[in-house]
Formats: sequence, structure tokens, C-alpha cells
Amino acid sequence: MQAVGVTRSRAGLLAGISLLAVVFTVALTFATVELPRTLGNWLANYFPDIHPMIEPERVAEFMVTARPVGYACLGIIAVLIVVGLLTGKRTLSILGSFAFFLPTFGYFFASMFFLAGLGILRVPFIPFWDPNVNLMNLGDISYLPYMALIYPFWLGGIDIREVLAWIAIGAGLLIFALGTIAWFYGRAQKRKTVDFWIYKYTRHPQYLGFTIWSYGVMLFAAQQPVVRGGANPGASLPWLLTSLVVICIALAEESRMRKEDSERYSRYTASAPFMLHIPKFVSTAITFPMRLALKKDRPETGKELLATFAVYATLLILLSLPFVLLDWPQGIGWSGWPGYLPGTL
Amino acid sequence: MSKRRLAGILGSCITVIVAIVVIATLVPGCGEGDQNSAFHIDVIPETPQNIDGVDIFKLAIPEQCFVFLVTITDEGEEVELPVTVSAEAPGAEVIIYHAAILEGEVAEVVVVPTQASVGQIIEVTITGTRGNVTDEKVCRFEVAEGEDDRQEYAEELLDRFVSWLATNHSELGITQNTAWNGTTVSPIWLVVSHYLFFSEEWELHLEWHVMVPPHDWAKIDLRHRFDELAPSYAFEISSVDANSEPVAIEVPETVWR
Repeated sequence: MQAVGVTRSRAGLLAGISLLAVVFTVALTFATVELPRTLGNWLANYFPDIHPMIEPERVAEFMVTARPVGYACLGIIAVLIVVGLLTGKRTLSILGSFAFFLPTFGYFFASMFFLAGLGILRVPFIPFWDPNVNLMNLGDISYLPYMALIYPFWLGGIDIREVLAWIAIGAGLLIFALGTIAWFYGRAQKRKTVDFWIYKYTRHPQYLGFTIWSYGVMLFAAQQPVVRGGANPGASLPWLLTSLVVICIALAEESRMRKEDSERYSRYTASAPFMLHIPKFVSTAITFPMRLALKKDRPETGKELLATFAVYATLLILLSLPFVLLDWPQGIGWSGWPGYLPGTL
Repeated sequence: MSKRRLAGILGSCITVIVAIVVIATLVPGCGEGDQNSAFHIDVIPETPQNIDGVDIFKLAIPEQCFVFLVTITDEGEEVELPVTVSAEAPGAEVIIYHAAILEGEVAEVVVVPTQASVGQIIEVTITGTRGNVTDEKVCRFEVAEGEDDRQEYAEELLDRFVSWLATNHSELGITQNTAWNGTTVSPIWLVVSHYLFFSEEWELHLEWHVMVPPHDWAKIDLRHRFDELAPSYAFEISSVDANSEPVAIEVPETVWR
């Protein structure tokens, strides 16, 4: 009888936790898209829209102030990330990477001037947002999974672009919520290593959740229609670099856990994947540059983490270069790709 | 990891990234080198028009905004350096919107004659400049006696179209809060009256039939300023008095002037 009671209470706990995670997910998915719009309308009172073609002198005047602010913000963000990685102070890196991703929400506010309303958040992107060359596209390799997923549907006359962004946002938040709940439960039980529930399927559910959620936000940003004559360069570079920082933070945590709970944690890493389960040959190929640079299997010190970040950032930017050189997708960019559905024109 | 090794890795990465940025900056700009590429400018409306050997001038009244649309055509390869448009019109005020244009873009030269110009011909010299290359067009229009007595009714009709567009064509970005500046146009036309409104994005040409119901139609056509030379949308209310809903109609091939 007692065993049945325990099973029931455990099932009830799991059901309660699942419900909590679903409510959290639905609420935050809604907030992810709606809050920026509300906030944008309020900020428009302070940063009004300016038509760059009608009042170019006002834009130029605004940019005189905004440009140095943008460079300073980017500098501070870079310092936070680098110092956080080097010193192992996770909070600094997380703060820096989130601050680097936050401007992506500026895309959710349609305006003629890219810094109007909520667009003012994009001030740190100014160094990348040059009218002659768009460095924001130097992360466009990130769109490969998006392209691979939507293109077959598009050929079949189905447009899943927006749906995919919603799914990514929702799935990311759900994974994040399940990870957070499991982590708190593990802490309450005074476990050194949390290895149950969602932690059986990924060693870093919160970081995985954040990465998938931010990918959805990045897709939404890229899909935002632009006013005619304007352009939407997307936010692939900030997402790419933010995700790399998050992965480096996860690697730093693993290094610490190996020191603190060596045996149990090693057993755990053998049973659960780092982020997602991927075939061995793929993970070997992905980790090859790191092993080549570090001459070891994983980074352990701050310097090694920084080197790992630099190597992968460089490689991924290099892989994105063809998108920039070919100015692809042409026309209005990712917000219009792959174009009208076959058969609708 | 030694400091030297870290410095080596970071140095290599920074070098590669700098090289990528330089390549990304230079390659798309390869065709932009010639600051003195030839071009010619085109201006609409054509005024005066030579019909059967006679110059027919368009008319304007004092304080009316006479809006010329200016475009350029590159004579060689398309160049990414803009042409700067300037204009002179003795006896009138000149305002230029979107003065730096590339091929495919549109500048607006607005000429506003004064009361003192009534009965005279206003000569407008529009010049495009890129590097050492210039091209020039001269247009002339006549200033007639008159005043704008159509504004109030035009704004009434505009409100009807705008509230309908805001609800039914939100993709145009026109809302109830969109600000419009109006000017009369074709002041001597009587049976059909015309008015032009400009928002930041759109030029809206309104015309209405001064007639009893059910022939009291009103129409609008919309041109996207700065990248369109002709309207791209048109709508009609078949009878203003009968409160008919606007419907989409065939889009005129040219702007009204």
C-alpha cells in the first residue's frame, strides 16, 4: 500500500510539474512576441520614427550620438563575455551574451528608421550594420537548418516559416522550463549532479532551451516584413555568437562538475548527450577543430574556453562568407526567402 | 594552455576575421569605383508638351505644390554611387525630397509658386550630379490666378478612403494616424476635381466626379514615394452619396499632374 501511495504521489508531482512547465511555456511564448510590440509603442514616444529619405539630416544628427554609444555598448558586451570566459565567472558571460542577443527584439517594431521605437535596442548592432556591407549576415550559416526544414514544404506548396519560428520558441521555453524545474528539484534533494527527468536526454537543458528559443526569435526577426525600400538584415551573427558563448559556458560548467563530482559526473556524461543526441561521426567532425587547437578532448581552463570560442566563431563566420559575397538571398533578404509559394502566382 | 599558444590562436582568428570583413567590404564594392559614371536624368511630368507644334504648359496656382518626379538611368553598368539632385526655380520655392538617388529610386522636386508669379512662366532647372558628371533638364509651367477651394471636401473623402484602407489593406501601413499633406492639382479641371496627398511613404491622388448621385464617384491611386514612378494601387467609391464601399480598380499607368 505504501509503495502504491509513493507511486501516486510521484505521478502527481510529475503531472504538476509538467502542467507548470506547459503554463510557463505558453505564457512566455506569448510574451516573447507581444511584449516587444507593446514596449516598442511606448518607446516610440521617446525615439520617434524618422523617414531617412525625407529627413536624412535628422537621421545623420541622431547617428552622431548613437554611433559612439553603439560601439561603447558592443565593447562592454565583448569585455563581459571575454572576462567571464577567462575568469570562469559565469554570470558575466551570461549577461554579456544575453545583452548581445537582446537587440534582436528591435526587429519586431516596424519603422522607417532602424533605431525608432524598440529599434533603439539595436544600438549595439550599429558596428555591424553598415550601409555598404552588411556584417550582420556573417552568421547566415545559422539558417541552414531553417532552409533544410522549410524548403521541402515550400516545394509542396506549404509555408511553415512562421510556424517553425513559433515551434522553436515554444519548444525552447518548454525545455528550459523542464530543465529549471528538474534542477530546482535536484537542489532541494541536495544532489550534486542532477541526472533525472529531462537531464537524462540532455546535460544542459536550460542552455539548450535558450539556444532553441533564441533561434526561434532570430527566425521571427528575420521574417519581419520591412517597409518598402527598406531591408531586414536579420540577426544571424548575434545569435551565432550568443549560442557559442552559451556552449562555452556549458563546457565551463562541465569542467567544474568533473572536478567536484568526478566519478558520478563521468558516468552521467557517458549516458546523456551534451546538448542533443547526434551520431558519433558528426560529433567527431564538429569537435575536430577544438581538438586540433587544444590538443585535447575538451577545454578546461578559461584560456582554453576563449580559444575554443574564437576558433568556432571564426570558422562559422568563414562558412557564412559566401552568403555575404553572393548577397544571398537577393531582394529583400530572409524575410522574403524562398519567395512566393509555387502555384500562388 | 600557455599564453603564447592562446595568443597564437586568438591572433590567427582575428586575422582571419579581419580578412573576411575586408573581403566582404571590398567585393560588393568592386563595381562602385567609378565616381564619374555617365547617367541621364528623366523628369515627369513633361511640361511644356509640344502638341502639333504648339507648347502646352501645365498650370499651377500660387501656393500649389507642383511635384516633379526625377529618376536616373546609368549609361554604363549600374553604379552604386548615388546621383545628387538639385533644382532652381526663380520666382518659386523649391523643396527636394530624397535628393540622392540610385537607378530605380525617385527624387521629388517640389516647386511652390508665389502670388507674385501669377501670369508668368516658372522655369525649373533640375540638375543631377555624380562626381564630375552632370545632367540637366529644364521644365516650365504657367502660374494662373486662383485659390484652393477644394481642400475641405478632399480631406473628407480622404478620411473615408483612409479608414477603409487601414482596415482592409493593413499591408500598406496606412492607419488612421497617418499624417497627410495635401495640395491641389489641375486647378482648371472642373467636372472632375483632383487633389494630391503625401504621407511619409505614399502619394495619394484623389479625384472625384462633381455630379449628382449615383454618378458621384471618387477614386484614389497610390504611388509608393521614392521607389515608384507610377501608382501601384487604385480604389473607387462608386457613389459617395450612397456610401458605397471602396473597391479595387485598374491602376492608372501614370501619376496625375
